[in-house]
Amino acid sequence: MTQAERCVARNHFELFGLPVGYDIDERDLARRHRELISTCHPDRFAQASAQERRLAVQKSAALNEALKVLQDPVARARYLLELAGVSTGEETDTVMDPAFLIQQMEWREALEENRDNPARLSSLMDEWTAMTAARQRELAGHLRAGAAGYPQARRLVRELQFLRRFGDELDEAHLET
Amino acid sequence: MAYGTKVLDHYENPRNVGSFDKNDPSIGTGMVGAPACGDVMKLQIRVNDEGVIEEARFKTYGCGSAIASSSLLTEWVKGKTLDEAGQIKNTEIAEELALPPVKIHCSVLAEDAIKAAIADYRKKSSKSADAA
Repeated sequence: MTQAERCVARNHFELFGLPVGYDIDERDLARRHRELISTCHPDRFAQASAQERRLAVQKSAALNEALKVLQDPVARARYLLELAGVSTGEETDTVMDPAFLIQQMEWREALEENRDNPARLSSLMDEWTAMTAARQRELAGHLRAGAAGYPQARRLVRELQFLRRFGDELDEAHLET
Repeated sequence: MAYGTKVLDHYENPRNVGSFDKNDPSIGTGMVGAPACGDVMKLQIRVNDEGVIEEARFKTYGCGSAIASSSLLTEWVKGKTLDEAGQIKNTEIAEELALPPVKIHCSVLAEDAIKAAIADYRKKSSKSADAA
């Protein structure tokens, strides 16, 4: 087995020698990433064949992509569901809990009406932070429950993705004030 | 992003923005959301006894294409029967507005919204028929 081939894995978790699961020690993950990426560094392949060099480049790209997914709780959850064959359909499935959508609409209205009101913007930010944190905790619980928790986990990933978009808009509005 | 003239027209002068009372039995309300972009769309229809859509209103938080798609849709469904309105395809909306491929999902949102509004109206009217 060549050095580059040693980086081959079936999924992002395996790539880092981690068990497939939601709970991750982010520092440990970062350390594993650093170690592995150094084995794929282009400098190590200066004398290698063109194919080996290409493989090494592909492996570092895979490591960086895997890190990006695993260090983000929502992306990690989405990926776990994907591995289990559950698509979150965030591009295509528009059916969501009506109460959630009504609330999202109210927030967006509040944002439109209060762009010049730093106090209201920051209270919106507090509400957003609280809701996001609560859903992330819920998500972790459902994913620890295994397959039985997948339907709820799918809903929560979709809602958290929604919340993330609104968070981006809030950040932008905040910068403008 | 460069929007087409029809998108810009609907975006700058959206038709039929607003709300109806969702508890009114002649009103159907459809709410849909696209997690990928965080767009929310509410589409409401007022239906007469013959099952014809007399008016439609919408409220959309999202990009120009999502607003234009819902605005166009409210114009299209007016005067249509529920069955006719339910057959509107997102591809027709996308074609009319000349949406680029990355914005096709905005027209999907509009199609799903009218379908949800029709379903809501039918659910309400079957319930009131049961009660009667």
